[in-house]
Amino acid sequence: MRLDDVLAILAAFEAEEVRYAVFGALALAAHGIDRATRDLDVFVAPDEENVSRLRRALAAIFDDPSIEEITAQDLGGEYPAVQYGPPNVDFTIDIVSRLGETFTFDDLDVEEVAAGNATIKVVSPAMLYRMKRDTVRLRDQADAERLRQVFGFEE
Amino acid sequence: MPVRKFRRIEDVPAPPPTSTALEGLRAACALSDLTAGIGRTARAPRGVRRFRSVEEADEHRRTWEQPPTGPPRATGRRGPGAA
Repeated sequence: MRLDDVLAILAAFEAEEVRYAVFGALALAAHGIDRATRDLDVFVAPDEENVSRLRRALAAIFDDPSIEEITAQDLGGEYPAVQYGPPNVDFTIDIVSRLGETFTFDDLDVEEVAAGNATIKVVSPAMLYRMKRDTVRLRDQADAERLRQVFGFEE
Repeated sequence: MPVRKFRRIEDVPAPPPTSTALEGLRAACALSDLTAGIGRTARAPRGVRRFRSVEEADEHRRTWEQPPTGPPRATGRRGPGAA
């Protein structure tokens, strides 16, 4: 996973004014907690205009007709998780519009974070902690524990 | 740095948080490359896949993210002293 690829994708999101927020491992990393991952997790607002912006942003980086298969109809409907594997990079972009019945894009607490020359939008540490603390995945539980230690959240 | 010893891996303190977002992202990317290389995982799949939940997406991820079972691949290289 090349940092330049990740930053280029997020810069394209910013340029197209996509309503997005990074969550998952790279959000942890942006808050100072690094662990390995094979995906860039992004929460998006699933309305037609925003998903159209998302497609334009991805198409600015990747010459890939499959980008057109990412639709607001899916993300706002039966398929709230869409995984996109771009050409020429060895990670996926996991595009999520809601987590269970608990979290939608509008529920998120989002921070703008400077990353080199870019400013990116990232789910806040407290929000990440809430998203991860009650899940069954061991990886998420470990992330929640690390967030608790670093940011002093109460259990 | 002085030597510190631990009886269990769980007792080893986590590394301190990185100081900037860029530093954290750079560390995560480097760690991800290292882990993928050591784990002999498959390449990330191409194209678009749709899932009814994040859990379903995670289940699919495990099919390609986990390293294959069996002995390590032969590298074709031999160590010093090999016949």
